[in-house]
Amino acid sequence: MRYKVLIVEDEEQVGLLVEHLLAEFDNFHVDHSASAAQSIDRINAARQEPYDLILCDYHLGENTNGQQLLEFLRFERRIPRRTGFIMLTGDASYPAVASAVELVPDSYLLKPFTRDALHSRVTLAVGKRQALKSVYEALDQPQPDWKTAVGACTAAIVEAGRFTLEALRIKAECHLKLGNWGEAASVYDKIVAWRPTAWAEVGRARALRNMGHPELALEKLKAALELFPQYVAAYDELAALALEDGQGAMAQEILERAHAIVPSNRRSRQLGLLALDNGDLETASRFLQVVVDRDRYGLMRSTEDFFGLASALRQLGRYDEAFTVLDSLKDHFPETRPLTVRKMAAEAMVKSACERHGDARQTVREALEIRDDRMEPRTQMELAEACHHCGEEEAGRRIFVHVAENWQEDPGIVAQVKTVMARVMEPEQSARMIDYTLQELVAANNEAAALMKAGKVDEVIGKMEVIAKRLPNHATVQANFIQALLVWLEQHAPPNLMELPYQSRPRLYLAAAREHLRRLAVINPAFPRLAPLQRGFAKLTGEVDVAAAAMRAQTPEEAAEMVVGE
Amino acid sequence: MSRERIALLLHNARNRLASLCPGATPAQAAEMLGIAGQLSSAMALLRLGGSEPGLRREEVELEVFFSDLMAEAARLSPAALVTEGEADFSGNPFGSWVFDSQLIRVVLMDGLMNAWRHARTKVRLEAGCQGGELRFVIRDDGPGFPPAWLATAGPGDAARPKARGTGLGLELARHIVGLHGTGPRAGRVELANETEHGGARLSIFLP
Repeated sequence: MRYKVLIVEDEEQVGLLVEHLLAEFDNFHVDHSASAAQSIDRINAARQEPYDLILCDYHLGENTNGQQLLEFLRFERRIPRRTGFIMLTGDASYPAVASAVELVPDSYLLKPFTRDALHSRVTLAVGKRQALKSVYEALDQPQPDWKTAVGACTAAIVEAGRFTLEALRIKAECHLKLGNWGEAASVYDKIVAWRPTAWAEVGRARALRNMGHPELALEKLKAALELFPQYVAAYDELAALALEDGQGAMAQEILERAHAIVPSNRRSRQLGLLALDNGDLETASRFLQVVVDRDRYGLMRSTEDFFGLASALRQLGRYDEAFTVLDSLKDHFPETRPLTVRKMAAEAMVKSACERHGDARQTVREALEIRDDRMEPRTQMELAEACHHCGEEEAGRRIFVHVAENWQEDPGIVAQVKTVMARVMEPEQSARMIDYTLQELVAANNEAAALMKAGKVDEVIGKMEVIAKRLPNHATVQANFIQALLVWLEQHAPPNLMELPYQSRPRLYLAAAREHLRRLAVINPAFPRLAPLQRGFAKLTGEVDVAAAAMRAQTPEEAAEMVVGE
Repeated sequence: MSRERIALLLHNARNRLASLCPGATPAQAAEMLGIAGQLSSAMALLRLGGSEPGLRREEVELEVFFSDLMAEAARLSPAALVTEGEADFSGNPFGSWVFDSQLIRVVLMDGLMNAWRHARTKVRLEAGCQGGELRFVIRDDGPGFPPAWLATAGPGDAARPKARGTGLGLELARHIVGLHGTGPRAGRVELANETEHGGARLSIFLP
């Protein structure tokens, strides 16, 4: 097999030298990129046959370095887990970075380096890829198969090869993803019992926090920081603990310490946004301004920096600067409809703050016209808040309720709705309103489930159709409606179903099931009931890829019981 | 950042100086290696003396670390000497170890340079894992450590003659290695002389 390698290096001669050295080791297929942007283009173009290994210079220009590129590629899943990554650097400070961050390359190499030094690292990266092949296969699926990956890790651990530690690490991460906190903690315990390891200490604390033992997590983190005082992930975890405990100011102080160790853009952003939440507007504007100035053309640029900075400037009374920041969004991001709605909502808030009330109300009305009720919760909540500031309270209230109902299954979003509402309405009243609405929703869904059990499928369809239209982002509601339609079709559809006229009831139900299956796949492609429902639909119509989601090894019976909301 | 740059300059100066050794006379090579050892100490002191954390523990792939070390040793070893290396990490289930690779590398290179100054024909570097410890051993076939050093477990004031340098590198090595781990699980440096054929043996243990 011929391995594919990408060399990301702005100095052509160095890139060619590395290629020459690689040719001495093996028959590699080598591509070159001179910048981060070029490398991303190459990586995107190679999606069908991804690179096996990336050798990347640390200094890439354009305000980007190799560590940022690595984090971007891994966090955004632009490269599969199996792709190895080796950092090449002439900067003596890189080892300090590598010992502080959680996401490290497979290895790094200080320039000038020898042929042997490069060879040992390439061998290591290739060897890891081979040893953990089954693990990576499970993780590199469009929807990572965490359970299969756990099994593959166990097999690799039993083999006790050179990459046992990596297998343990991935196994614990998979358990965290699956919410198996106890299992994750147990894996981390094994590692820590053998020898102190920064990421395992932090992982264990994360598991303990999720198991509801914040005091134990805190104790472990403090002990870890004595050994690894520069390990910034430990500070992140400490900050998460402080935030869960409602201590925003302390979390900010902790993150400032982490920022002093690794002042990356990601960290500046995190700190700026937290300071904004804490009402520390000077700090928020200072850090977010840095990110906006430094990262406006960078890989990790985010609209959050611009909106956060504009919000801080508005609250500081620096209105002209806030308008300038919002206006500059168009220079850096494509003008999509959701972004336009967010921008208009933010502009309306600034206009309202500088007492241009008529203008503010007009802007918010225009934003309401282009709003779509399927837009992501954050966009809708920002618009709802702006509505309350600009004299459109009723519209704002409706949007808040809509978001809470549609994302009822996500407690984080429901809590956010209540928090944002509490800024513009009486907190208890707003919380009551949301709770009442959600209770009503659960009751309606439960009623439909009871009717289903009683075999009154027609009635269920009637009720669920209304709810499914009102809640286009609610996965369980969508699934329940699809299921009712499929049950009716199984009971009533004739064998020549597909030959019936389009306007016949069975064909209309089929069309509705298809539409809502597609909707469900958009809401959550990993929703467990999606695949069995798709198979049920395929049985009736022969259309196997109606929602283009991977079929899982589940039987239609597993989806047969209607789920009741909580 | 400026501290890192100073460290890099010292590192380059040390290596450039040491790289002249293979072509130098034995007396010149010994002097050059002595100066190179002092530059190593300066690098380590620079790292340890600042406000930043003394150690940067990181996950170190042992085979890669050892192979880099041997490559550097091969490049810098005086022409008249043979430098051998042997590693057996089978006692370690994970393949990697947590330590400050930069500082430990400085300590080991300093140990090798010291061994090259005193060896007659051969220097040997061994590495392995045993009993929950990572161990590096540097042996040479020179005259061995002065007996007073062994008695005091290090270079005391009375025993700092020219026989084996100033001992500053050794004190620093003890300090750096000792920062790894705590109490009975602290890293340690041991000196011994080979009983059979003579020569010095410097052992470094990392928890």
